[in-house]
Amino acid sequence: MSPCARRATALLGLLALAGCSATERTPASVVESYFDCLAVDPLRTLPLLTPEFHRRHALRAVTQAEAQAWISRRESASQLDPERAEPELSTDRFQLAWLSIQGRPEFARLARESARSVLDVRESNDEAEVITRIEPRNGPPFEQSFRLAREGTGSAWRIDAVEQRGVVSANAVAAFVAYPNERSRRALEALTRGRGGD
Amino acid sequence: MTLAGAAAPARERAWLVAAALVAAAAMVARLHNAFAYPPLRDYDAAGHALNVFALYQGRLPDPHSWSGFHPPLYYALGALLWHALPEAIPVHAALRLLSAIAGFGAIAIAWRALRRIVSPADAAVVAVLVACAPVVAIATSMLGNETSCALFTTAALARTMRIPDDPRAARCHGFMTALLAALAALSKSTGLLALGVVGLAYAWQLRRAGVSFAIRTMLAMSGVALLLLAPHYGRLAIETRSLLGVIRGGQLADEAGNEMSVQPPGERHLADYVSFPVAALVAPFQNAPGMLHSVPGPLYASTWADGQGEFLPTQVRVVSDAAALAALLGLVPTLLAITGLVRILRRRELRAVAAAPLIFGALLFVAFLAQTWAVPRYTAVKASYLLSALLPAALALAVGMSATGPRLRTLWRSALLGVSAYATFLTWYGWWT
Repeated sequence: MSPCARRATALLGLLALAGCSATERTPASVVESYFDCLAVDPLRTLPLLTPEFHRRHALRAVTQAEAQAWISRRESASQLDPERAEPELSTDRFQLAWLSIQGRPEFARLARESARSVLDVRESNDEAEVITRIEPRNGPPFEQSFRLAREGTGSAWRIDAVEQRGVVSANAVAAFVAYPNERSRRALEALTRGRGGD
Repeated sequence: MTLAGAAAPARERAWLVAAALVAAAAMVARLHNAFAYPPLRDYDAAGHALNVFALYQGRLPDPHSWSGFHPPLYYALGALLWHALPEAIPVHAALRLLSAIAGFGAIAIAWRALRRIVSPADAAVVAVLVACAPVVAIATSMLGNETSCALFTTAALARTMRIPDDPRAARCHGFMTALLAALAALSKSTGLLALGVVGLAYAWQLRRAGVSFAIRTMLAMSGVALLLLAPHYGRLAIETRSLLGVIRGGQLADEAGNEMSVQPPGERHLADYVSFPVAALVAPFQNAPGMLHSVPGPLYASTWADGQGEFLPTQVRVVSDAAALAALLGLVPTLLAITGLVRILRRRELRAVAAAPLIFGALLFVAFLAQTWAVPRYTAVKASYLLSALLPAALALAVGMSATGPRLRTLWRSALLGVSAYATFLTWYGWWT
């Protein structure tokens, strides 16, 4: 074997080893990784999340034309049936928004400002719940619980849903940063408008 | 960059050392930028990132997704890095380093090609300028498939400058060149253009060996390319049911229409193609007066500064002033390159050597203009779309500089290295903080 081929084989071996050496994560370590990677290494959050998680956070990237079509549909839809105006979007649109929001420099700064700790972990078969406490630099602390799921023993735990408790206007920004989602984004937008846009 | 001028006189060697120092500073700047530039602020970062994620999971990107139409080579390499590198290295930083390595690889190849027509010192100075020009510095500080396409395109085009005279040797040479051009097309669809130009270059060279020999060689070269490209482009054409599917995502062509067509500045006019606002030199950003209704203006501004304002915080006064100075300094290499281009077109021996890279550059430029017409939005007027034409640009610049007398040449070399060093400073992310 030539030296070049030997080097290539060694490199491929290393890559294969690296690819296979991922250790099995516990639900708590998945949540820790979520916080560690948020806004710092956004791509590494993706394998931690289920597609349903992305639909639940509901942040989405749409084209200008899609947004206009959506607004038109919403205006013409019955007040009793607003969901019908919601566009059918593929998961990648939610993932795009999830990644894009973390690209904002102020987002990374705010993410670093909050301290968090795991309060409790409950695991049952292929479902788990991890309850965390988040203490923002400004504003009162709040709780954020993660629901995790796995496809079976030996498969990876992934975050499926997030719920927050104790969120008030004083910690609303920190809550959004800890779990970016469309409902909080709109609430923050309303709050900002209420304060005169500051 | 290695110092290859051991036999050159001491003065020439001093230029090589100076160029190597600036090149080393540029490499350090890329390493710094990979980590310092905030995550996913890069051009179309989230779309590129999702393609890498798809391959990381062992599946091809969905052709209907936002950026799923791009060929998979860069993303596959990025996914391998993601698996291989420790978690301490953010994935986006690794992807940027991949861009930087590809970009510097392309420039090293261009430098080698330049040495065929100009002195080693001239070649080194021009290669360093290309490496440091803000358009290249910013593209190689960002994640994305543009630089890997530039690497393979440059490698393929550089080979067309030394096709062997012997037909059989030329045929073997052609297989490797076709493979490189196919890798370019497997990085970005721009590479398809390189593949066509490379094929024509070999056909032209082999015409003397007989039509049937030339056709057989072309078919064999096409076979090499087809083997690599058919799985991606075939799948894309089938899934999107459109040949345009190879250059744009499925979503933009859906019933909701193309977002670009409804966004400002609206329609393009012929006047936009001849208007060069002063702002391109003194306030080189897309929101400066006259820039939205100009193609040359933003093109120039995104070559010598950050015309899109994606990398530099243009709202910071000291940054916008520094970028304006870079745009002004960019006049020197721009004028030299235009002079060089005219000289190449007028001199037969230069035309013969540089034909394929120049034809590729011209075709890419025409395609770029067509895109600015079809997509009448400032984001389409980005010099980084022309990154794969760095070899023809470097050739023009090198010929322009080497055509001058010794005293003037010293001046130009100093000026280009000065511009390079300044551009490296300008694109060192965070210097303003």
